[in-house]
Amino acid sequence: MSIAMPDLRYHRPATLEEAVDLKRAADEAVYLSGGHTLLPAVKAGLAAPTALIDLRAIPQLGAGVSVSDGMLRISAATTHAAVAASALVLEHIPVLAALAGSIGDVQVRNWGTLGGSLANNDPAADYPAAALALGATIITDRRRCPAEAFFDGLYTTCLEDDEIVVEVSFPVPLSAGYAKFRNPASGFAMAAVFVAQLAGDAVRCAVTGAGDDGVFRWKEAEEALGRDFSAAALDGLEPDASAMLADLHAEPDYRAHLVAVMARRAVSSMGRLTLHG
Amino acid sequence: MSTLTVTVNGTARTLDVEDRTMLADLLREQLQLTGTHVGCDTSQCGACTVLINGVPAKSCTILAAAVDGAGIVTIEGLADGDRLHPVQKAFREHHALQCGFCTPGMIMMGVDIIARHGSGLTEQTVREELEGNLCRCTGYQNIVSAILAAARQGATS
Amino acid sequence: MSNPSGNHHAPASQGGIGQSVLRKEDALLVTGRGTFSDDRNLPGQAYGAFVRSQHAHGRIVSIDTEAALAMPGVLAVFTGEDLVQAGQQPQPLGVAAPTRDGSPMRWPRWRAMATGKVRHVGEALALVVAETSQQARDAAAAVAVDIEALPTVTTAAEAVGPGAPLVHEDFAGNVALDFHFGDTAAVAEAIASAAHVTTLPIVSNRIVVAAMEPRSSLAEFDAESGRYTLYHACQGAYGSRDVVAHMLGVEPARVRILTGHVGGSFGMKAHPLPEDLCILHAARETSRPVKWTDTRTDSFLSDPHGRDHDMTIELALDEQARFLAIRIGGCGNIGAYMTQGAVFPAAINQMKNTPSVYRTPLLEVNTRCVFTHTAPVGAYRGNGRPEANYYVERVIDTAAAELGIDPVELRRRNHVRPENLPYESAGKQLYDSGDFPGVLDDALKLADWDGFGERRRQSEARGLLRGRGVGQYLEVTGAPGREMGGIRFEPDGTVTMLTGTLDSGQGHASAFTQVLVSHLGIPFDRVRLVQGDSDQLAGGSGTGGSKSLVASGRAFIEASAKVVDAGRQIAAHELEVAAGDVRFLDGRFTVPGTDLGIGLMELAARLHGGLDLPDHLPRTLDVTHLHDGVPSAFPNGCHVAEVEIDPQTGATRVVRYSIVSDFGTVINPMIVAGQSHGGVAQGIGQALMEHALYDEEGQLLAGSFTDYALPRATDIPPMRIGDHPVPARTNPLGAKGCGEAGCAGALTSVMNAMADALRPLGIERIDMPATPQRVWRAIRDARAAAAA
Repeated sequence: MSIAMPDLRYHRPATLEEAVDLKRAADEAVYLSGGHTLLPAVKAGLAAPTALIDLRAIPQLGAGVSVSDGMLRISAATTHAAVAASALVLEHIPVLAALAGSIGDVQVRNWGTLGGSLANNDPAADYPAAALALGATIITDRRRCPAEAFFDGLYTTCLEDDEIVVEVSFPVPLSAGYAKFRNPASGFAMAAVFVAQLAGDAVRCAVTGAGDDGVFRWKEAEEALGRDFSAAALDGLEPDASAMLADLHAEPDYRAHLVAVMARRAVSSMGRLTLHG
Repeated sequence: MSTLTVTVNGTARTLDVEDRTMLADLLREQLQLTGTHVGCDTSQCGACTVLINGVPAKSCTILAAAVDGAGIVTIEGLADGDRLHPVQKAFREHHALQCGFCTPGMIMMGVDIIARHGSGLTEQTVREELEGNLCRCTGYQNIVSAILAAARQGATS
Repeated sequence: MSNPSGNHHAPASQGGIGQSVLRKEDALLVTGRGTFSDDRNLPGQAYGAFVRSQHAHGRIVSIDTEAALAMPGVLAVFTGEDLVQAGQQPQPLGVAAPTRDGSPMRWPRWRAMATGKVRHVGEALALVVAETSQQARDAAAAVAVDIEALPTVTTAAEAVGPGAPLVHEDFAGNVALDFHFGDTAAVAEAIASAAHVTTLPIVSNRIVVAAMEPRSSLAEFDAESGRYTLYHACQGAYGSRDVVAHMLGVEPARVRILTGHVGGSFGMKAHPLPEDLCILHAARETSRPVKWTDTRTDSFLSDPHGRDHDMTIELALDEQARFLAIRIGGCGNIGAYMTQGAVFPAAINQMKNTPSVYRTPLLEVNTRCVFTHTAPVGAYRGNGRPEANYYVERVIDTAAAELGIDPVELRRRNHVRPENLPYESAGKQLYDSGDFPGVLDDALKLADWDGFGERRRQSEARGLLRGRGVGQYLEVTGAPGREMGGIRFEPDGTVTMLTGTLDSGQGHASAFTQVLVSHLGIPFDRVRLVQGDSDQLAGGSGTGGSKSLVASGRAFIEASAKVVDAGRQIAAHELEVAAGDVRFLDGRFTVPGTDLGIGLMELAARLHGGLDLPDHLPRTLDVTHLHDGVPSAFPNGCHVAEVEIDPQTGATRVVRYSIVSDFGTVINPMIVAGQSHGGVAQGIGQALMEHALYDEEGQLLAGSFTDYALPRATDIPPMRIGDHPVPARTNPLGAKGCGEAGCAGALTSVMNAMADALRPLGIERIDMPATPQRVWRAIRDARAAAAA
């Protein structure tokens, strides 16, 4: 059988209010939305919730994809597979669909959700890079939070303990590109860069998988690209290695180097996802 | 404990399960459907892959309670009596299994890959879409061949 | 290149030798009806869960089981002291190797659970038995262990250094075996007087075996008969029975091993491991069947690992670049305890396999098997054979580069040629057959070696480095061992074959049946194979060392001859002719010149129906035959790999792969190709991806599939397969064994291709695993050096 799980209660509330009440009622209750990061962590003993509150039956979270006023809106419980296959996403931000289609594997994409990924803020997750680079707004059950303020370090966000991500609103960029170097074992991002050209000549460049404080904007690259939007403009630029993660597969200097390479590749293949490693 | 109703391989069942029970354990221990295998604890190996409402999922990472109301197909549910499903048949004919432990998950993925891509399936696509399934015996070559062969024969289950 | 079918001497019966017959077991396995260890359950069974050491080295101060015992459903908790008090013995002594000073080899005690000290992370400390698996695991978490941490050593190089902590107090310098082979003075003289000597430091990285089925066992004790039954996955039920009986301190007849489908092994499940003995003890003490299934997380820590060598190989050449001598020395890290075959990878199999297909007159091996505070190292696909071939092929390519000679030409100049056979190698192995130059030529053709330049230009146009590598190899298969060939004609008209090898995915059932089809003319579908029941076996050395087909195959051929002998006498009586007039062909006894005849299967049916036979005639066709062993065979071949490296990231892909093999007579080409595919994938994994790395405290850094890079479908290229078979002369099948060859060819060809791609940048050495980070560093450093 599978590895031991702690004893816990499973809830499947039908409304946001019910979910919040359940969360407040138990000390170690945790929201669940897909669970493909959370449940392995529970099995590994890294988390020991007494209750899991499955958010996927709440109608607002399952509303799907819509477009209005130059914004692509995706509800939180939309699976990666659904984002990858969405005609609206493919039409308006094709690289976001490709990004979703590169998360985990086929089975994981059928269960993992946008909201779950953002709320978990895994430093190797893909969506945080897209949200940050595109300047997305994370809409919760109580407020609208710009991506800039949402991500707050490894596995940490600005979400209050009982707050629920309901929807994410992505501004449709002029163009965007994403280059990912995958961890040879897990397939997660070991260094991945999302570059977006936004309305008003703004260029944003977000890095995931590499920073020791999670997803971050690489300002030097943004400035260089703002002056000259070309891969060559990034020559010689590298993020500070002392702010990079270290693990078995990539020491900080290698990660910093990979970030630079991925940034150049994202710029050279705007509109597309490129996978490396 | 929760009570859930699921349809497993076409048979509706009402079951009492501990909330912490994973779907894989429900299948293996409560329903004795031991064809679904558990090969890791980190959702990497894919030996536990089953179809939930028609799409493949890793049953070791899905709480049984979360599939209340769903239709589940396991490896035991593919064949029609003694008649193998075309993907099962292709695995046998192409020597796509050695020890056979990863095989149920590979076959379930094969069924899904063919259903989504049909006969236009390419070798590269098969390899990419088997990303969530590990095999230590075959070097994948004959697994890929078997899925491509089944796709060419229009096996969409 | 000829197709291997057609080599057999027997008639081409349906399902006979040389045909790609489908596998008998697959109908079950593709429908989810296999019987893997964890699929089996017994009425009333309880469940075991282990408490494992989180320290790599420490003194056990206390193990407090009180809280665990009080938890719901808990039946008992056992510790190492309980096993000792019950009289359980440590693992029996394994295979011995000659020591440098001639002193007898010694083994440390390896008990099923730690007593006194722990010596690696993951070592079992306590077993909790409870009504459900969940309860057992909950209670295991409640066992309070107090361990006083002691200093650790995790690499062989450090373990043999001055002042290193001792893993076992009575093994000075942590040396389990100081192995020496060869004429030291002659080798030194050859090296001193050589025109050129190439010296290459080289490693074989530690591997997690990662059979997809985690280990699992179910133990039962029958108090009335005093018999133990262990349902578990292994590589030979007969040998496992003896190990279990030894450790339990009972007669072998009081142990029964039952094995169903085995979900991969590759050497790792070669013999019973500590957990099996713990649950046997628990079954007796609780009077309940007890089941235990490992989690993958624990299996990373407690399954025997593979490889882990740190060597230096020297090759001496004369003015014509002819090999004069090879000297190999270094250490094998064998972990905290000695598995049964611990002396093979770094010692015995270096001696046997290093000479490979070349005429090197002199060989010296100086290797030490060294204890460290890491998981024990056991057999892993090839068990030293791929490593020996890897070391020698890498040093050949390095020498070729140093001398400015084409590496293919250097090989051709030094091959043992067909006219040299039989040939005794410097490793004292008598090669009986093979066409090593021909194998190389075929491999180069299959790989389109000459078209490489154009492919490299195309890669370079895409900004990628491209390299090609040859990996020619020869493996010395496992040492001879007793093996059984049992043939039983059942009343229902089927035939049962019994043998002591054990399938873990190799397709024995079809391959062995094909031997019987060819030799007895028995219909393929009437035959079933029994391996996994020690009660039905009269002997058997198990699977390992690529020898199953040769060992069981000879046993069945000889058993078949006995069947024919008995059958001829009975048939003669039935046909009322003299036995000398009866001939056996295609499954029938006939009398030439007449229309008299009777089929073997019909004769068997008549015997079951009751024949009135005179006393001097056999009463049955059933045979239980044992032979004393088949000489090692020498499977060999040549792989050619091409790699593409992204110099900006260090990421490498194997983009072309070709295999030409001499496995002697091939029984089932389909199965043999599959064995090559799988071996190559494991070889590519070791070469480019896999590394079971420990930190200084003895914690395994790559402890799950999210950290340990097991090859996926996108990591493995399509492989082309060719054959160049030369039947072996030392066994009646002419087979050589194919199970481990893929690794030998892959490590060598892939790493030679890596070196070829990187050499123009001035990179002299690249070690396995050639991960993106390692390759990138090598490129960066080489560029920095070039710029300086």
